[in-house]
Amino acid sequence: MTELLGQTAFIYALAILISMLVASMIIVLNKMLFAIEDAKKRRETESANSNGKAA
Amino acid sequence: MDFLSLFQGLDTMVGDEPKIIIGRISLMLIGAILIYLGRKGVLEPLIMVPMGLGMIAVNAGILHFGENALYPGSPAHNGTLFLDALEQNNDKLMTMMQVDFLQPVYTLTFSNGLIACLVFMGIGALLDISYVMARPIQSMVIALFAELGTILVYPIGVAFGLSKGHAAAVALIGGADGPMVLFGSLMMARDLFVPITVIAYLYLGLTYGGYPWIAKAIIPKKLRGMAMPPEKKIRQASPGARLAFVVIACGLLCLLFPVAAPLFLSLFLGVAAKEADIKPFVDFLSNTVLYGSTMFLGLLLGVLCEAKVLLDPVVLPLLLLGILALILSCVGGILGGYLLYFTSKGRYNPMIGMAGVSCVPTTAKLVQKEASKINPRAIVLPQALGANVCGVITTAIICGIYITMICK
Repeated sequence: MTELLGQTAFIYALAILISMLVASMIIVLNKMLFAIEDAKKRRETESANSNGKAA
Repeated sequence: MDFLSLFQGLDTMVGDEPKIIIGRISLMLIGAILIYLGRKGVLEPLIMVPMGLGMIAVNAGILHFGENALYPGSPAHNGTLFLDALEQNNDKLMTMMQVDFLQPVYTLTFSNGLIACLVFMGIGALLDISYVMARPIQSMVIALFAELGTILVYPIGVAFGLSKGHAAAVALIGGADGPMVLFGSLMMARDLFVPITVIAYLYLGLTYGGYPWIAKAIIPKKLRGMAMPPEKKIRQASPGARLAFVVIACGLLCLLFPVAAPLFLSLFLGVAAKEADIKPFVDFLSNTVLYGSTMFLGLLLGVLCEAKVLLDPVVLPLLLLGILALILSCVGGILGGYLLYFTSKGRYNPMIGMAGVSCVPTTAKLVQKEASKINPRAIVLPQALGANVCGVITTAIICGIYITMICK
């Protein structure tokens, strides 16, 4: 019985670990993609400003 | 000539053992009740109407087959023209496919898990993962609490005398995810996958009607009707970011649990079609595939409810453990809701925890419906859907762990 309970606890712990891995992956991915989007926007604004100055 | 032999359904019923006669009549009545409750909206009509009708037809339409009637050497027996769930011999199966009208659907889609995958593709195409992307930890915590039944019923089942495979397959009912139970029981309890799947779907119908009572019993009315305070401005992930998440999550989960890879692929294929904005695929998956496979799934489950199958003594512990798993998961989800309620200093409706039980999207809609009954201004659906989607992911993870550990 102790072995069975140990196995159950291990299964739950593994499920928690992998779920949190997926959740962390979402957070990292979100941050990365937001940073890329922001950089893209910044570049667009900068090029629009420099075009405006040149005009 | 015996008058009853003209009406073989009646003849086989009169000639059967008393317990089978009672079983057949009871299952026909239950079928009618399921249709009625489906029509009333108490149970899920998409499953219950075809299932109820199938139950009535299969228990009424039993006929005599003489010797050699189906194939050379086939014994005289009573059976139906629907399907033979237990036939394994390939030659006989080919003959049965030409005799039983649902045998091709059963053999080629049900007993290999394809129908579960088709349902998952359709569900995937309907899933909205924006809230999961915005609040992944919160949604995942709720979902993990709502797996209490899926986890605890496994040792309880073994203590009841079930094998580890059978106990794990029954415990998966706690995830309230029909296709997952079908897939898991095919992998871990092939000899019992028919009763386990039938019980799972019967209970999923009951979830619809029973969960609000559990919520009423353990959450005060004031909290059940609590509106979620407006969130600080959440930056929404772009469709490109959501698609990237789908690609990485699918690859990662398939890498970790190859045994559950068909389910992961099916779910994420639906989500990918939605996030990549492929409208023809989304329409095809969320309408034709989802509703077509749900109807055939309901019908197959109904015709699998033959009195002889369900009167097997092994079914009783499965019935008890299945309901226990679902109750524990609901209670676990609510405990998770309370945890977030206390950690957020009363800014979280604990009933949302119930949506962590991954009966997509039934439990999320149920939570919104119950909250709206008390407070029409309470909008909890985004949070509930977030927990719901994570519930699918956590149940798939646990299913993968069970299959990997038990089938090894």
